[in-house]
Amino acid sequence: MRGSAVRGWRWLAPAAVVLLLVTAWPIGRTVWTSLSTAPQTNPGDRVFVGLDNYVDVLSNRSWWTAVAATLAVIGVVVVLQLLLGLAFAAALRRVTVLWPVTRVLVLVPFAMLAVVVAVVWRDATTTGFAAQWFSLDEPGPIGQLISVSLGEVWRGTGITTVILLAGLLRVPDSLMASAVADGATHWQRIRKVVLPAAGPAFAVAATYRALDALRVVEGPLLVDVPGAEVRTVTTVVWDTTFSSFELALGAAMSVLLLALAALIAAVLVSVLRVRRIV
Amino acid sequence: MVAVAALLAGCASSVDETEVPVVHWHVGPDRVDPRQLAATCTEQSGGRYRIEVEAMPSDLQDRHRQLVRRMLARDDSIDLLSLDTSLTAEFAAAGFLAPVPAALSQQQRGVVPAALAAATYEQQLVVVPWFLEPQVLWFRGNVAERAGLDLSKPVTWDDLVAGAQRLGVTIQIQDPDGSGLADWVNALVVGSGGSIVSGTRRDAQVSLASEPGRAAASVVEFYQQSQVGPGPSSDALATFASPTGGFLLAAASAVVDPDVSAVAADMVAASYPVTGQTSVAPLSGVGLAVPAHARHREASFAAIECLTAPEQLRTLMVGSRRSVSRFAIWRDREVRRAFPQLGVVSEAIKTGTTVPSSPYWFQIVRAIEATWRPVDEVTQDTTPDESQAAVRAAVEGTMP
Repeated sequence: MRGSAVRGWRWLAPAAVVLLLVTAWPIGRTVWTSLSTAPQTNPGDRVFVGLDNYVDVLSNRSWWTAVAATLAVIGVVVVLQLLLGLAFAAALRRVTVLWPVTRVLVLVPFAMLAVVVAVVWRDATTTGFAAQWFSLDEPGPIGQLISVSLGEVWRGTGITTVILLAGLLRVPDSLMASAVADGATHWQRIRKVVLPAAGPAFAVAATYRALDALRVVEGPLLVDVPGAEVRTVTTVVWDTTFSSFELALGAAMSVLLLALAALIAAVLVSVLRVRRIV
Repeated sequence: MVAVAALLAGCASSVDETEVPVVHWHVGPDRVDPRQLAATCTEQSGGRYRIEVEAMPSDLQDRHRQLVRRMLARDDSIDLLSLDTSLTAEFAAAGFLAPVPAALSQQQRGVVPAALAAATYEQQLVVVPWFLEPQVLWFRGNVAERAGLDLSKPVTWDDLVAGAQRLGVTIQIQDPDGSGLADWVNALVVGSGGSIVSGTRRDAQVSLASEPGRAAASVVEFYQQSQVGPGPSSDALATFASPTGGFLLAAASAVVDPDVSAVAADMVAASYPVTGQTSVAPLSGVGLAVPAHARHREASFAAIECLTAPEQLRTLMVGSRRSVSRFAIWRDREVRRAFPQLGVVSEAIKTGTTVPSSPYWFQIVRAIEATWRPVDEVTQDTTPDESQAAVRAAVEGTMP
């Protein structure tokens, strides 16, 4: 037993080392960088400042506006993706003809580059079909942010559908048949039969889509204008690092973004934890 | 072994003989065709180098972002740079530029002092001056007379705005590349006896919340309240040429812009309007620099020597009305005939001001854009203080 555990570790060691190298090293460097002030174009002004960058960011109003905007975008995107994905998954479950084709087809939007999707959806609301149908004039920066977020919904619904479908397929037919025979109501069937079996897949879908929505930068960056009032956190990080060239401040923001991701994941995992019955 | 050595030797010699170093010259938009200058210099080099022109984005902020990213990545595909004077300090502080050879820096006698200052950082010549031009007050035909203004001597902003309003014409302010607002605010502050920022480090003195800062804001406030124009705008030249156009604050070279070709014959230049005692015009221009990571440093500096030779400077000045960096060219008879506004220009270049020499200037521009735009919300009571805080944050590298 002991011997096999050691052997097991020996096999795992290379993977563990690689994982450490590709995650711990850059994160460690980012944390170290964030403790100085580092204007990339004026190396003479580089000094160690401790936690000043964090104090600056966390006491800044526009940072918290960005956090609020990001959480709002994540909330809307994830909820819409889950609802649409569930509807599609329920429908796809009944499709038996050509099922391999249909299940791949829903993934097509996900195969498109995020920036292409963002451009298409922005243009739809500024000059394209959405502007004509709803006679929008000049959606403005916030309107455009909404339009690229809807683009993200469109892009991610397919992958959400596939995850949810995998969950739905785990619901045993025999259990469902017994529930129907026992005269369980619709609501009871969902709560007692579907959710316990499909719950873990729902939790995975929600967490994965939330973290994916958090890191989205293409769309918000595309519709960002100088002096915009509402920005997402990723846009602020990008702007600070690659337009203001304040490397350390951007690093501090990145660390806070990582903390935000961890927080979202922790909340979702504990909220969505579903007791497995089957 | 011998065969390989012979082969290698053959390779080496053929490289020496046939491969002319290509100098990739990156330029912003200009009214004179840089390809023509490049061709002339390539020809004159007698095969020592060949210049190829590459265009950079026309917006100054875009150009700045692209260049800084490429420099930080040690991009070696830029051999020669047309560097905007507002970028000199940042590029020098960052160590992006190859040192100017002593032979070339000793040739800077007879160079326009302001152009030399704009190419210098911490008492060191870091860029070779090429041209530096002032903004002047352009007006059409007898507009000044009809507005009751005597423009033979500098006019105050108040009189100019009142005159334009009386006559129902606009005062357009140029902004061809996104630098218009910051140049305007800077000239107004300096003209009122202040400076936006002094010092090159994080602890630089920012003085917008001051008497000169408020004086500058009051000019902007009066300008927008009188509704004589939209402030600095990219279509200023086209609007000036339209029926509502009367006055235009733009570079001396604007007269050869295609946008004003219909009224160019009718355009007269006068000194930039004053806020304090003397006329302080915004000065901006371009210097030639070699990036630190350029592959053919020698060829690049040889190309600079050619581009700053009298013959090329004359072509530049006659063709594009850029006031070039050497006074000797200004006295040339051909130049003086082509450039009737030279008197106004030579006064303006003495009293005008470039943007402050700060490595953080482009962050300051962003802060000014954020606090002085939209122009019709500027007030002398709030804007200087808001702007002070934003510029201070930009210099200190904190969040605004």
